[in-house]
Amino acid sequence: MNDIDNLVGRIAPVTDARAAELLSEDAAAELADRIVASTAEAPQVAPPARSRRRLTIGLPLLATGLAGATAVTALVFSSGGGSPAPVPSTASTSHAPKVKLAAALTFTRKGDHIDVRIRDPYADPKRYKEEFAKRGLDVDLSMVPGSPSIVGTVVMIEGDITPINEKGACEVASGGDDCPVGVRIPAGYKEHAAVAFARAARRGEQYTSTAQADARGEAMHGMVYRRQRVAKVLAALAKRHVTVPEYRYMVGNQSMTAHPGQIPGNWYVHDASPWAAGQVLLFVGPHPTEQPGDSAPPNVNPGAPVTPSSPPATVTPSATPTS
Amino acid sequence: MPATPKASRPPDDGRRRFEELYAAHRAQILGYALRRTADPQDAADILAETFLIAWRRLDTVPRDAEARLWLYGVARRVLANHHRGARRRSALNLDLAGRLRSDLAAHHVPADPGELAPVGEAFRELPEGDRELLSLVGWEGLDNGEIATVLGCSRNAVRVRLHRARRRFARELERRGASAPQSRTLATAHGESA
Repeated sequence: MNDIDNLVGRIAPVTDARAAELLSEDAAAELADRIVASTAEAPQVAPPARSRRRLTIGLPLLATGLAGATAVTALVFSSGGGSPAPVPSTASTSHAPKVKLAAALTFTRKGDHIDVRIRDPYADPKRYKEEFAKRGLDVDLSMVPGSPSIVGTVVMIEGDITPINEKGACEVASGGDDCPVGVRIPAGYKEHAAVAFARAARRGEQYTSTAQADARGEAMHGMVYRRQRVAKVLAALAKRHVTVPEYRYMVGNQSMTAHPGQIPGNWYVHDASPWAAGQVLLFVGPHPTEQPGDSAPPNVNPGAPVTPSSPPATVTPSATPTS
Repeated sequence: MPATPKASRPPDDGRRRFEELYAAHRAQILGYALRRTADPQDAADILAETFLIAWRRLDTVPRDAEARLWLYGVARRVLANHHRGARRRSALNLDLAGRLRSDLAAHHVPADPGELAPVGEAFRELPEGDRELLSLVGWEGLDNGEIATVLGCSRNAVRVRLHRARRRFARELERRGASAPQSRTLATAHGESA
């Protein structure tokens, strides 16, 4: 029957991670302000019993959070890239890893499900796969390069597997501190499941998962760029040493790709998206906001050269501003 | 400057608690809405109204992990109202919907790619109640107990109804000659980049 749930999961049109991407930091903040302002008086709340916990265990999927994540990592890395480390079968409790070679994951049975904690976020995905397989689980766990503010968050889930988040497990660039420390899976689950977390991108590596370009921690945080002229935004970006390898603009309903030099400086920026470290993609058009009748920029031959946008194979690192 | 001392219960506490709640769950609620309505305006409304209700009833929002379930329960009722045609375009989200719309266009994901198309069709054939249960499991990843909380019914009722829903879905799939597709490509349906 889990097969059914899995299938349903696969036709989900939008993941939460994608929803998070769609809701820009400032749009979200604006909505919160309006909600709070909508009632003259703040509602009654019980006195806060919360004290913020700082967890020392758990995963820091963030590079910066890793320091506290035990010395186990060193052992893991020393196992080398080649043959994966044998997994001690006693790794089922998080307390006593009597390890010769540390497990990349720990498994804890809780009632009708198993909680899997990620001990080593930089392990080869094959090792996760094998440790899952040892428990009879078919799970792909992977880390994909994400833009800074979503590093540490879930970007893709398939099958009956849910992330375990822990508040205070980390600090994320976007301002939260609620990060995944592992995944939960039903005991005896036989189907395939997959989950991907965003990890920090390596130098020059293109993000496969992104947040809004102006989210806290992103390349354009704090910049005003919507409805601004392209030339002005490029100049501001240049000051931050941020370049624009590609543009997107709409022709009718279709999103088209353009490259540096093809977009007039007097066009307007509609939106932006992180591309790679120090690079952003700009959504542009001839009007301050997107208009239904927009057409191609004058120095793009409307016939052939630009094609409907799809993630291009290569990134042009030498993008220079046009003006 | 010393902070001005407030009454024993500073209004800021409410605001802070709300903002924590909002930060922790806004993407989940927006995701919930976007998975159930194709219209970004509706999704924006559902997000806005759900958190407006949460703000107004902050005292009744559970403080633990149940907060998410509570919010799903509210979002569910807001969504049902939208489906019933009782649309109150909330003035709260004036340009949020516009932004969502352009962002959705930029991040366009084709519905039911390839092999999943018949699955989507079969799913849409199911009675509303079945779809709701199956999607709470498959999309929000809730278990029976959590679904019972969201729907306000007993766990046992969920178990029984879910069992039937799964059976009906399986039959519907079979009828269409669509069974679980074999190839499971990890990233296709979720290619993220801009």
